[in-house]
Amino acid sequence: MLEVHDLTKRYGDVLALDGCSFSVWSGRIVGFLGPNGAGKTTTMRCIFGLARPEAGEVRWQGREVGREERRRFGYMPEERGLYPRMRVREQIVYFAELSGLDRSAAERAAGRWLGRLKLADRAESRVEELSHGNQQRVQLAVAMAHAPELVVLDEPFSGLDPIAVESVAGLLAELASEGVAVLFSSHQLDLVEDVCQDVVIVDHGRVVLSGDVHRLRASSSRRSLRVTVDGAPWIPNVDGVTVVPREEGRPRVLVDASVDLDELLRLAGETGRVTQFSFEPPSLSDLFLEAVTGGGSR
Amino acid sequence: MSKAVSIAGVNLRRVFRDRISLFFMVVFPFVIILMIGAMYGAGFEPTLGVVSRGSGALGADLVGRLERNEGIRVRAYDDRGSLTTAVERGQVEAGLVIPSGYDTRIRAGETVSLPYISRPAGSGQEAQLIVAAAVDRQAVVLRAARFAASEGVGSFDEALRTARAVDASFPRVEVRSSVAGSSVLSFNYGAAQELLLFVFLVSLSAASMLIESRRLGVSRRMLASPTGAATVVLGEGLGRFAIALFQGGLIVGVTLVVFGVDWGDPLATGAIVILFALVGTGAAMLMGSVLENAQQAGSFGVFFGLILAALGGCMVPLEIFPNTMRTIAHVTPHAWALDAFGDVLGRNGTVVDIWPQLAVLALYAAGLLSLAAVLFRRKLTA
Repeated sequence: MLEVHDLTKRYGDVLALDGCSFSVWSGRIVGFLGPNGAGKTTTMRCIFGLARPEAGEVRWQGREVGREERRRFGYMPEERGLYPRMRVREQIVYFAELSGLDRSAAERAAGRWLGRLKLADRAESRVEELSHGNQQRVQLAVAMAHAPELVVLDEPFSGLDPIAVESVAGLLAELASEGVAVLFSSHQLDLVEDVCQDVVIVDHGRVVLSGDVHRLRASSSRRSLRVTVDGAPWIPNVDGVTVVPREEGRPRVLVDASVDLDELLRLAGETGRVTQFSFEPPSLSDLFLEAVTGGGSR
Repeated sequence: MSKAVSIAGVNLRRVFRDRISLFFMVVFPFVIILMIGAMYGAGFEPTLGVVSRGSGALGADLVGRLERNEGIRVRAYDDRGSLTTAVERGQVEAGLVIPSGYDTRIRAGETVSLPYISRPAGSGQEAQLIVAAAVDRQAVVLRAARFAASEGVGSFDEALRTARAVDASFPRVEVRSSVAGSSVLSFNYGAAQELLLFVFLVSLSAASMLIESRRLGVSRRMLASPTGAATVVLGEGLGRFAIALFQGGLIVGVTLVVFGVDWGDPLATGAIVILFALVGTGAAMLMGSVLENAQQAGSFGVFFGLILAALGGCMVPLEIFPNTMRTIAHVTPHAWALDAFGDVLGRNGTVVDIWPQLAVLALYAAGLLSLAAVLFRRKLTA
C-alpha cells in the first residue's frame, strides 16, 4: 500500500500541498482528481522524489520510500518523457534497463508489452510516427515494462479517442487485477467513475474527499433527481434542492436523500405528464463539484 | 556505471540519427584540419607575387633565385595594381615589385629599391626574410662583378659570369634555428590553439541535448526510474565526450600525418586532449542544467566558447599578454591546456612534465560535472 502522509510543499509564496494525505491499496485503481493547480502533479512528483516536500512522508508497504522502493514504481510524467525520434522497442528497452532490468530481461519485457498493447507491428517505428493513442500506449509500456507494483500516471487519458480510452482503461483494470496499485490523475470524471474503485479529490493542496467511489456516492446526503414532464426537465420547488447548471443539455438536480419521493412524483404529475423519473446517488461529477466548489444552488 | 553507459549509448544514437548533427560532427573536424594544415602545416609555403615586367636579365635572375628557394612559391603578376589586390585578398602572402629597367639601372651603378607589399598579419614577414636573403645574395654577386670590372678584369658581363661561377662554388654558411619555449612564432603551438578552441566549442553543443531531454520530460522519467542525477549527467556527457574526443583525435592524427604538424609526445598530447574534452563536456552539462532552451544554449555556447578561448590565449598567444592579464587568463582551462601544450611542443615535455596542468584540468572537469549534477537535480526536483 502506498501511504501519502501530510505532504506540505511550497513554491515561493504558493502553497502547492497543504497536508495532503491519502492511501492507494494494491489491486485498486485510484482516480486522483482536482482542479488545475490543486497539487496533483506535485504530489506525484513527491512520490518519485522529483519534488522535495517541506513536511510529510511517503511510505510503501510500511517503509519510507527511497531508491529501492522506487524501483518497484512505474511513472508516466505529464511531459510524457519519450524521445520522439527513438524507435518504440528501443525506447521501452532503454527505460526498462534504467529501471533495473538487464538487457535480455528488458528485451523480453519490451516484446511482451508490445504484444499486449498491440504495438508489435510498430516496434521499429519512431515514436513521432505513431498516432497519439499509440504514443500513449508506448508511454504506458515504458512505465510498466519493469513490472512495477505501483503505477502512477499523470493524465493518461488526455487527448485519447474513445477507442484508445477503452483500451487504456481495460489495461489499467488488468493491471489492478494482477495486484498492481494504480494511481492516475484525470479531468474526465465520468471516465474515472467507470474505471476507478477509489477516488482522491484534492483542492488547494489538501484532500477534500477520498474513498471507495460507490460508497461515497451511496453515503452522500444528496441524490440526483431527473424528472421529465411533457418532454421538458422539471425542477421541484421544494426546500433543499440544488441545481447544478450545465452549459449544454439539462441541468443536474440534487435533492436531499430523505426527500419524500411520493410527494415529488405527485407535484410533478400536477404540472403535466411525467415521462421520466429517476432518483439516484449523485455522480462523481456531482461529488467533485460539491467537494471543490460546494456545488451549485438554486 | 552501466546506466551511465546506457544513457551514453542512447545519446550517441540520437546524435547519429540527427543528420544536421552528423554533418557538423564529420565536416567540422575536416574544416579545422584544413585550416590548421593551411595555417600551421609544416608543408606550407607562402606564395610571393612578383611583378618583373621589363626588369631585364638581372630581374629574371632575381626571380629565378626566388623560385629556386624551397621556402617560397612565386607567382607572376603583370602590374603593381593587380599584385596589391592579390595581397589584400590573401591570394598571395606578399608581393615584390622588380621595377622596369632594373637591369639597366643596376648596370649603370644606380641604387634600386624594390617595393615589398604584405598584410599586417600572416606569413608575409616570413616571406620578407626569404626575399631579403635572395636580394642580398644577388647583390653580393653584383658587387663582386662591379668590383672586378672596375679593376679592369673585363666587361661587367664577363665579371658577372666569373662572380656567379665563384659564388656557386663558394662554401656556404647556414644558420639552423630551433625554438625555445612556446613561442608566438611556433606553428605547432598555433595548431594547439585552434584545437582547443574547436574542442571546447564542439563540446558545448552537448548542452542542447541535455536541455531537450529535460524539456521532453525524459530526464524526469530517468530520475524517477530511479537513476541518480549524477549518473544522468555523466551518461549524457559521456556520449558527447566520446564525440569531442574522436574529433580532437582526428584533428591531431590527420594534421600530423598529412600536414606534418608536430604534436610532440603522443601520451602527453593525448592526456591534454582527453582532459580538455572532459572539461568542455563538464561545461556543456553545466549549461544544459541551468539554461532553459536550446536557443539559449547555442547563443551562450558560442559566446562563452569564444570569450574563454580569447581570454585563455587561443586567439592571441599568452606570451604577449601583460602579466596581470596572463594571471587572469589562468582562470580559464584553455590557458592551462596551452601551458601544457607549450611544454610538450616547445620543450619536448612528457606527461610527467605537465602533471600540474593536467591536474588542474582534471579538477576543472570534476568540479564542472559535480556542479552540473547538483544543479540538474535542483532544476528537476525543486
